[in-house]
Amino acid sequence: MRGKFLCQSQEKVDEEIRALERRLCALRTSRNSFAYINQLPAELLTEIFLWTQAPYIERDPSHIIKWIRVTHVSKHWRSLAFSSTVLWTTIPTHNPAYAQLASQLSFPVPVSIVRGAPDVETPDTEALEVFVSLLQRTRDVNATDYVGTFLFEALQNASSNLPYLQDVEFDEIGVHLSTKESPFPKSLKRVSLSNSPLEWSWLKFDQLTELHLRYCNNPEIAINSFLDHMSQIPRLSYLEIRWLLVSRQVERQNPSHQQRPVTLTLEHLIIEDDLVSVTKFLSCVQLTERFTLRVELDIDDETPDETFAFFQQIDRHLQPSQWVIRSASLIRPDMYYYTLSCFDQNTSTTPFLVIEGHEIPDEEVQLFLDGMQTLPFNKMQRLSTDAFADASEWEDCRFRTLESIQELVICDCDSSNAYINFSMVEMDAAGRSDNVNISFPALKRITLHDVEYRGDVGKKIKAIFTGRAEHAFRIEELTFKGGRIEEEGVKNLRTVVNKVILMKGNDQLPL
Amino acid sequence: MAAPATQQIKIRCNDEKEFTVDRDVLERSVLIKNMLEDVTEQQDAPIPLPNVSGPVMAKVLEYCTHHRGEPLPSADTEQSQDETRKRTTDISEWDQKFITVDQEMLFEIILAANYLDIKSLLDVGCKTVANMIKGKTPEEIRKLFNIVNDFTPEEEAQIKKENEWAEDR
Repeated sequence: MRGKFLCQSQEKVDEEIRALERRLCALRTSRNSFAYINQLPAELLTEIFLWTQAPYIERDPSHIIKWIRVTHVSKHWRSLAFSSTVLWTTIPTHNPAYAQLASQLSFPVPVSIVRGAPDVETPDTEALEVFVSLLQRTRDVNATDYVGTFLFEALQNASSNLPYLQDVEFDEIGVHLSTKESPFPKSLKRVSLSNSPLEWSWLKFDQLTELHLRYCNNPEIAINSFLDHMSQIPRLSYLEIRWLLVSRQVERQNPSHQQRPVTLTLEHLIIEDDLVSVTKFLSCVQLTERFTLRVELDIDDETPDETFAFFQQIDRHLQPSQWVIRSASLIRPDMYYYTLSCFDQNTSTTPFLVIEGHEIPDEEVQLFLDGMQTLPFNKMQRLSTDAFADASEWEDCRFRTLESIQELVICDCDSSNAYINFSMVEMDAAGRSDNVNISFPALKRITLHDVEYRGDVGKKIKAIFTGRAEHAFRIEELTFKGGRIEEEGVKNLRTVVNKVILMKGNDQLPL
Repeated sequence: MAAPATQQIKIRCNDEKEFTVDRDVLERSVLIKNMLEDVTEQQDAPIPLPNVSGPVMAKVLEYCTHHRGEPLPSADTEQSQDETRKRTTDISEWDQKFITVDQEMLFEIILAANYLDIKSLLDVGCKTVANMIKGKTPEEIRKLFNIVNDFTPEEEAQIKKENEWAEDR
């Protein structure tokens, strides 16, 4: 009898404790309602939450799961976040629990399915079922490997009901499109396919604006028909082709086709292949006047004559508005020098806006710089190179004022002598450089890779930017990528540089 | 020939504080711009702004004066919420200095920008608050905004589970 009485008494007290706890929570909620931030109406607080997602969306959407912390602050914030569909529309594939929650909370608005974080184990197929129910309101899909294959097949099965789908990106999927006609909606705007089988049906979306094909092939697709298809996508403005078998099957059988190249109304063409294939590919096309061409060549095995012919062809016939060479200068700077010399600055109509030259061995730097001097510097806006190893190497540069250059990207800085490199951009009040009489008066942005910024070296670099600022040649944006950085010192740079960005690898650190 | 004088407009805040401001500065506010377009005759009476106090309006006018002449977002170019998310949280140096104020003023500016319909100022305010939240734990965020943990034990248990996902990613 006594035991029953004791239990009942305890239960009664427990109930009182629970009631008090509920009352305490209610009081705390009431107290929170007086916080300044909680005076904002729901739509403004949601807007702020959206901005807190922006860094994830911008850099790596797979990490958006971390954003859920914002919903752990208070009842009000959690309830608001849970009732805002727009906050749950980016769903990574690697976390089924998050996907389940986001799937419910985003309903009924369109969603983006994004590639899972690479360092996290991917879920099994059963766990991926949650995405099948999402496909009808999916706007973008980006997936790889067996998750990509799973989603690709699920999309094919749901093909009659994909009203929002606009953007698909698949990497390493082992399956083919099942029919000659694509099951995806014609309204697709962007396709990116890597390391996967290439099918005709991928080239039949007439609303496409972007097409990326990387390391895919199909021996049955030849260049003739490939290019004919390209020309039937009138809105295509961005084409990237890397090591496709089609770009090597460039023998055009029909002589009339040879005479009338296919016109592509592109703004950007990125092509990576061997020199012969690229040359032949480009000979089959006509491009609009102001397009951007980025060629990534492997010219190790090519003869100087072949390379020369290639560059001449580009200069005379294609006239791209931007010209980016990577491998050509990486592997054989002597060839880079030789081939670039075919651009006679008196007759060339190629406006070189961008030049890149990286990983040039020390003994070849002079060749690179000599080669660059054959180019019309007066138009160049961006120079990206690791050839600042020693400012004295620029002494013979025939252009004293590189007046159009607005952006410098300096890679592989020699940390121990970093400030010597930057003495290149030191300016006096008259816009002259003290060191080698080359000046960059229009320079606004600098990106420095692997630089040491600390101690005396940091002070000397800062002095250069301070000098520029005092002489009205202020740098607007300075990015440090990698290297040994003293964060406090970099913060101080803000007094002389408008914006300082610190990146560790690809992560941007807040400063 | 001398340039025509800029039209001066009077406004009155909720604390009776009045400002006389160049029309182009005031027209950074879509609300006031629409009001002025609706009035055909010259009015001497100040425009009442019942939701903004004098000190907050002074800050808003400082912003509008600095950004006068810059293009205003039109209705048809207004970005969708999705596009908004793709934008960067960077804030210009001048705007950063301008918005370095105490929390009370910061949230008043956001409310005023929302009421007056000044999109760019609203963005600066919201981005500033988002940057304050970025990288902090829930406890740090509570401390920053003078909020206390008001979750029930059941809710805490659910949050603990969610934290496990977030840690696993």
